[in-house]
Amino acid sequence: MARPEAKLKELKTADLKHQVGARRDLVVTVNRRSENRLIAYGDEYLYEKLPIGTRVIYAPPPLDELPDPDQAIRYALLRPENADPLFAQLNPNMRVTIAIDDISLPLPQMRRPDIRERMLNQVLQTLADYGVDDVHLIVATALHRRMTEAEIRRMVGEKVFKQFWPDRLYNFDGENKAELVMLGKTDHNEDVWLSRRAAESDLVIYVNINLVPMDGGHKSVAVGLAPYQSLRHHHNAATLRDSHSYMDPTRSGMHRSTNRMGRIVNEHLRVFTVESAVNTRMFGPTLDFLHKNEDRFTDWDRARLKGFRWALGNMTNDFRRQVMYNYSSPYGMTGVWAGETEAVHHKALARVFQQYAVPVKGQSDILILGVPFICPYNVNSIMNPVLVQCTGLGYLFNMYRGKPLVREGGTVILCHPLRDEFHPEHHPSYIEFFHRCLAETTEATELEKQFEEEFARNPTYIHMYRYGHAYHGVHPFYMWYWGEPARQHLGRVIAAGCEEPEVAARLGWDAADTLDEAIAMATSELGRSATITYLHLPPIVIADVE
Amino acid sequence: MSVLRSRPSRNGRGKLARGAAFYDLDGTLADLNLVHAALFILTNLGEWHRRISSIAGLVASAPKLYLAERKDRRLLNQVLFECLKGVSVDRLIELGQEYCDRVLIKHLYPSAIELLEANRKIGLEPVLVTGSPDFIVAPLCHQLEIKDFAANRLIISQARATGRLAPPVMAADEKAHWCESFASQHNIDLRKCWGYADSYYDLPFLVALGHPIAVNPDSKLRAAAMSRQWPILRFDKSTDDESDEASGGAVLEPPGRSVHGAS
Repeated sequence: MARPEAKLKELKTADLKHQVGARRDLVVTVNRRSENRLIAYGDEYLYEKLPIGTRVIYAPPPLDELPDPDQAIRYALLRPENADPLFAQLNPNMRVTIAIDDISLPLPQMRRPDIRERMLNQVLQTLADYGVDDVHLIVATALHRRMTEAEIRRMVGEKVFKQFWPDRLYNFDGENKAELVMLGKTDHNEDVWLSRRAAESDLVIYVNINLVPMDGGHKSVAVGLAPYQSLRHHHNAATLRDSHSYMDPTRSGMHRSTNRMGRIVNEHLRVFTVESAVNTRMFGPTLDFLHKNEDRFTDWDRARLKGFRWALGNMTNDFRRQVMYNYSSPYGMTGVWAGETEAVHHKALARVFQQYAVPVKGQSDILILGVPFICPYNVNSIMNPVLVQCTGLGYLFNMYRGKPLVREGGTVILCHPLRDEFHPEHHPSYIEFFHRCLAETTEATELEKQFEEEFARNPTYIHMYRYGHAYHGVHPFYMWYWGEPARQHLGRVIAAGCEEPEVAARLGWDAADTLDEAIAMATSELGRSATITYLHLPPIVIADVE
Repeated sequence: MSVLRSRPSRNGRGKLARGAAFYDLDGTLADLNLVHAALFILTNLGEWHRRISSIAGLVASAPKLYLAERKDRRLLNQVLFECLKGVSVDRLIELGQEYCDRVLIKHLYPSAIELLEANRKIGLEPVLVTGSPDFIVAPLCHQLEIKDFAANRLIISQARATGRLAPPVMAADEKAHWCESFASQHNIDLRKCWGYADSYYDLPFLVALGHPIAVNPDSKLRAAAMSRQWPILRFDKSTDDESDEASGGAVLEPPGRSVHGAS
């Protein structure tokens, strides 16, 4: 077989042309003639009339995908950023560890072949070409749940799975003390722990997907292959409060911490990063009306919407959940870069913002957010109330650069049924956190002080994390801290369409039966002239708020 | 009263350090059940003709056992232990020790013992609450250094088993009552205690505890755990092996001693 570099001359830089003009109507104002708006509501959708004057922000249309992703990956490996080509870094006697992003992204899962499969195939082919056979693949789960065999098989593809599973393809285990090493401390006294296998490798290759700008960069290795001892330095109330927002790494306390740790990692290890970006093509031809401005719906779109909502409304909760999780998105790869971590991430971030960013003028008093059926931590699982909080206040609220979409002291309306339901195998510690800890306090610093260590060291939760498919015992605390910047900023949170008001109360929120009622509650406090913004998600959009 | 053996706790003041973790045995800590124990004992009773007649008796009572299991775990225990009628106490103790050494220890889930030891380390003293007979449970507890246990006890007459169980039979509600009485004796708050069991019949036992965990639950217990939002835990020997391999061959040593090394 020809060596990859032999094809170098044939390769061309991916040509991406974004239709800038298409963004002119991404921020629209509701008027008398406006259509109802689709709002994510757990595993269903609301179709609601919004008050006149409401500002609606839509996601930009999908960027063109790379015409030949495999070729683009090969090109990236051969022409890396600020590093030698991958093949030039290899020798047959070396030990290589490849770390891979886990199932927490992209969301929903993408159609096969998963981008990770494509990237792994190219990377592994290069390693094989140069005689490197001491290769381990670690799913960089950090304190997330272990992916199941079927999930890993789907993610990495049949070929890689058959070759490496289970001896050389496995989930990271942040509680296997024998397999962890401490690399050092940052100048902020943060302990940097890492997978021993990665730390003792001659080369670590990280294969990433940047679904949002929060992903990638130093966060990949320094978080994905790190245990609680490291993560507690940035996943805590104080650091996360200092993040404005998570989607703007330059203004995120968490990213500053992971960058410090990542630099320590890169001082000890040779890290070769492969980052990729995807477009917003979350829904295929059957459901692509979900991407659209409702004012531009055709009759065919309305018919499909009606059928879609009817079908969802007539399914049982469990069946509907299954249907949703089995859906896979036709995401297209919009870019791939390889090489030195920071240089690669810089380029990847630019592409990610190119896809998601929408300029928005000014904040509003009320922000309406629809919480969808999925977040990074309930893939093939249940969106429990703590995760609804994390998705609404942690992720959706943070979909901004500059300023939050809602003013300080303003109100966020989260649309979700908010049921008291948990997955007993995936989220065991969430159950105790919700029923015991939140019953005592919703104050993040108090929760951290009183309960975090107990949950992090709890043998049953550790066991379920290591041998079952449970998130680590400390994970619900992180999810709660994740909402901390929003809680600090907001005056009120109202759960619209809430089926169990006591769940909202436990989270420290108000409950409303309907969106109309929630809006009335918000305006009764803020005045009838209160301005309202609705962030139309999914697909993902990041507001550049002036 | 069924067997209740309590020794002074580690702090010597009759109080456990923080709380207790109550474990069922069959199906929870070990992948065996009472029938295995009964079969082992019957097949090792002594002369061949005695063994054959005992096993034939057990086989003949299979439909009765099945119905008893479906109806009430207490009844199952009673039917099963009837087979031991006439066996001398000395022989039972000897067979119990042998069963424990040769069979039970090998069938304990290593990860279950790892968890038991980790719980002990954080101050959750292990307590076994099981329907198994005391002559099997006692040697096991000795090996695992478990100080307190509740197990079923045969009524003995003239140094021989009568085949009847001394009340209360350790199953269902009785397990819960025993835990409550144990907690009050030891000044433990049951709301801070953890309980591990595998069967729907253990529902009252789990309900009595603050932190119930369904371990390898049967379908009914699984449904109950789902509706009550109890964590579901799986002990699986193959999973343990897989996980060890998956973690690059490095095994996290259980805190304390090795289970298989204990004798």
